[in-house]
Amino acid sequence: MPISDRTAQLRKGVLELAILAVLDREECYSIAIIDRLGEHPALTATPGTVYPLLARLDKAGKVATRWVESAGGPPRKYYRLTDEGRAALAEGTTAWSALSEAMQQLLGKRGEA
Amino acid sequence: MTTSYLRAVGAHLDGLGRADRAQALEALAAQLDELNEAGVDPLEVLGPPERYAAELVEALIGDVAAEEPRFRVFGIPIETRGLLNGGVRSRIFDPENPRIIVPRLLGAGWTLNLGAVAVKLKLIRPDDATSEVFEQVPERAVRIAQFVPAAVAGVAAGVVAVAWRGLPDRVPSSFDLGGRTRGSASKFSLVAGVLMGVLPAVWALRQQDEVEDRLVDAASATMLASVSVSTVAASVLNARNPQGRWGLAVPVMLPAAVAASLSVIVVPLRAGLRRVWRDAEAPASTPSD
Repeated sequence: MPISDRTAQLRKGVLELAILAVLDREECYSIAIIDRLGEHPALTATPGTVYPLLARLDKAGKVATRWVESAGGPPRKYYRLTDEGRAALAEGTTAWSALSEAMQQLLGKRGEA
Repeated sequence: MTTSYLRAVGAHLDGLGRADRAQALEALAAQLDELNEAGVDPLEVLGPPERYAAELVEALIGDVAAEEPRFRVFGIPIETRGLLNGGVRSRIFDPENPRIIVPRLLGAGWTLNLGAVAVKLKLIRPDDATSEVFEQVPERAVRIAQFVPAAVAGVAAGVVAVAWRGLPDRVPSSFDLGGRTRGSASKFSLVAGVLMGVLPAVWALRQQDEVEDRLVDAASATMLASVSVSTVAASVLNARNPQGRWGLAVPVMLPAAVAASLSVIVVPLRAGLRRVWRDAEAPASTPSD
């Protein structure tokens, strides 16, 4: 796999975890998820990136959806975490913490050198 | 706009199963409504429908790692993503994967990982096939590689064309382990044998953005074209000399087919590597101020 593909996959993996974290706080419709991510500049993502990830999480059973009436517009599709999604979030959080700590140490040492 | 965008995406979701397709389109319809409500043009944020459809297909069928087959039946790998998924296609040239035998790109069974073969033969290192190296492969080398399967397929077509008039109505179509004729078919079956090499060769000639995709497709097509040459030649030679053991030509030619397809991808890759190494050395050889 070319390195650029790996970088894209890494970002998608992080965004997937970020979406799970957003949905762990509250049930959201798609644009609201993008807005929540956008509150953190490093996680800003376009609908073109987020929507396929939502489709993937839905297919994998990590999120469930339901239609909710919207005032003054068509019904919205809301996403919420399933038990499987919560388990994936817990696993991802552990992996991310370990990875982040290791990278901090590694990059910190590089800065000191 | 919303409806036409949805319809255009739907027209490019052939790689998905019916249930996945319906689920993805239902979600997209809701998302397009939200964008519409926010006054956002879907073309602006999602890109052209065909590209967005490809993203969706990649996200949904990419759940299964490209190195692994989509399904297994009684342990036999079955793959359906070979034509759509570049990651799956690159399975036949994955130097980082040490397994030489890998699941086929399309259909049931296994195929060779030419990347692992190249590493075992010490032609390249496992981490040589990066996008940086592929980008440095000279365009001329890529184009020559793309023409190799067409040239090999042309040999099969030439053999059939030259021998056609002298062939009996029925020609050998299968051989036993000793290379003798086991079954026969109409001589028009040779045309199918030739097409087995010609069609992938034509497919490999198409223009693609990624050098890696062009070389991987050329290597696959070279393998099929080489097998086509050996089967067609075995049939023609056995038809002319029924006592011969020309069926042995098929297994005997297999190493040559592997060598040919390996060359199609490794020779250009090494040319790219030489350029990368040269560029890396250049600053060191320049005297410092």
